[in-house]
Amino acid sequence: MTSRLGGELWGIGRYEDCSGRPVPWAISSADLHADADFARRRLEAFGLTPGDVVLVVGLYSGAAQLGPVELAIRQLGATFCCADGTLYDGPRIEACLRQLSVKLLCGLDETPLEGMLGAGLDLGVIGQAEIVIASDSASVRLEALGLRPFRFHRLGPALAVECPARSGAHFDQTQWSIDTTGGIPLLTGGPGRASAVSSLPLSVRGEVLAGQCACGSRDWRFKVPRPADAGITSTGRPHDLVPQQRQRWNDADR
Amino acid sequence: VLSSQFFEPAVETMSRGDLEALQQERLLATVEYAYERSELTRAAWDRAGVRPADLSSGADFAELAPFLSKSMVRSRRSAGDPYGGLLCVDPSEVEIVGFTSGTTGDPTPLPRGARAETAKSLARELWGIGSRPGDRLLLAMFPFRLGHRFEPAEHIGAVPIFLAHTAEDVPFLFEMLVEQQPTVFYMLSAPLFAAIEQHASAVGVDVAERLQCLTSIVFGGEQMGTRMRERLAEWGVPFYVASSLGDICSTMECSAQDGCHAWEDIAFVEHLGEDGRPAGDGERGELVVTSLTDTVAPLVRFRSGDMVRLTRRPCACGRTHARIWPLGRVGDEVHVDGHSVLPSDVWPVIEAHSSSPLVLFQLVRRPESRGPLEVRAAFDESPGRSAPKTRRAMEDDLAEALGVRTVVELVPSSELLKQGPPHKIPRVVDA
Repeated sequence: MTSRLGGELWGIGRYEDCSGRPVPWAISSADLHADADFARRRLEAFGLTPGDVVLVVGLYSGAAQLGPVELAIRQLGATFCCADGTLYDGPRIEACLRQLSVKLLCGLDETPLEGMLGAGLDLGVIGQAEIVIASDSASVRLEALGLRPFRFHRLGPALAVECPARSGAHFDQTQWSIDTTGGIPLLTGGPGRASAVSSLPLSVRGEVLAGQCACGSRDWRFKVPRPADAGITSTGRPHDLVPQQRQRWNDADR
Repeated sequence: VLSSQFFEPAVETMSRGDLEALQQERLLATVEYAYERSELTRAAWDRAGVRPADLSSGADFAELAPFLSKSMVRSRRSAGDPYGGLLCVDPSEVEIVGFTSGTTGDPTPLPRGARAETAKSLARELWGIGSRPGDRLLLAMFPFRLGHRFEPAEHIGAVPIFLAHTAEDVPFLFEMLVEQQPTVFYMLSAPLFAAIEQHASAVGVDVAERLQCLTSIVFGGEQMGTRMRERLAEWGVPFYVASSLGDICSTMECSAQDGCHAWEDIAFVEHLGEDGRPAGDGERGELVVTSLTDTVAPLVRFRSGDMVRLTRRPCACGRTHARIWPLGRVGDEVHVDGHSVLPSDVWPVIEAHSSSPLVLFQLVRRPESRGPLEVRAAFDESPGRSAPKTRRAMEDDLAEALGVRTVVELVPSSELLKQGPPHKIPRVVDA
């Protein structure tokens, strides 16, 4: 990691490079606030107002990206709650949706959906949130249930989020530039950021749209072609082999 | 402040007299505030025929105030109030809803405003074990309680390194130990400990050598077995036990490692014996807490269900606040054929027959309290280990130790671990 700051860091998280390898990623307090400004604009696009409840799902290792989102939610006067993006925390998402009137659920990935299925829960409960922002793979599952989630993309350390106009995922062009001229999108960070990123190849293909969006925002967009949905189905409950193993261990000499 | 061993010296070392005067002032104000605003508190006090005006001291409170319990909160939640009748402000004033771990049931929402008691208490605790501005703080956490920002680090000025509390993140943890040289690791649990040992063995790294940069490790989740304690000592880094102070704030051992400090400027702390009367200093009892600074959803005389030993004797570290030793959960008691069995009674027998330091097992509770005692214990196949022999040995030794006929069911570790949260498993489950 190339870090430009010493004692002014807010925290050290990570992002995954295009091969899936975690890369340490430091952000400063200035980065935190810049990213929170962007997150606030994205949340406002969905009409979030003070008193609304927002459920953020994500691993603690994603705090460098989700910490600014949390800050933005609190700056808007909304109520923040969260669940871990793991198998075991799938039921917490269900409990949260059942107990609180969640307006916006964001950060949903496939793993906690698997956790919900593993706990015998119906994924349809996700629809209790008025607005759902999910990854591509989670969105495909939810769409199969008749839900219409908005998509987010991890562009290396940056986030891009669809708006209600659904015409591409907005990213913060004041902090990031994306070069798509060579086919593989390359991400470069702004000069003021604590960690330098230069021409980072992204694992997501797409095109950059610089004009004003139908939603009214001037935040640039990264438009990703929708993946083919065929072949992506629920894997059902995990640990299917466990009952046989248990029987062998415990019935052997009863 | 930097040279002080205390984050808030004036508060942490306040004389008992001053601390008790501060507590009394805050306690009486909290009672009046909560009675006026919290439906659950007012209903409990009205039912008991007590009014805030009836109290003029902490002693009056201990004598007259009715208790709140988790079941009272849950029944209000079931009736449609997510905050269990505790909320004292308009819902729009709730900034964050944290959750309890949900180990034994639905996670309980914990609403709070801008001021976070846990952020304050954790800052004191982490400072007390050596975290300083600019230091790297290795955080292996889950976000459901405090969110993705770690405000204690912001208070201290330390730089958190964010890790998931999962086995999958251990390779990155090892990388960060080398690259960032953190000084404090918060927090280690039994499952994470096992994952670290396993990864170190797989990649041929000496754990003690890799952890050399650390001055402190904070351990949380549940009790630490003898084998784990011995192995942690071999790591060569002092470790400190942490827990929750009845869902009001955190509590952690200090440098003296002689009990976890219960912050009495934040919580009014009592512990009750089996007869419901105050237990003696140093004795075992149920932890009962009252928030002193929470204006969003203060708990007033809340029976936490946590069994602790508690003392108000001065600590060698210089702090004057009470200390507790977490012992387990009141609800973890299982009755079989007239015997009372706690997980801590079963722990040493399972540990003796387990190849893993995790000591993974559960007691199975049935509505009828007839025997045999049912225990579900983890077993993972390895050369030289026979499942039937292990099971029989556990059954025989448990029957001898507890005086109760016992049936053991062996299950893969993964099956118990997946019942999470990541740092502990439910030790008692209903059949």
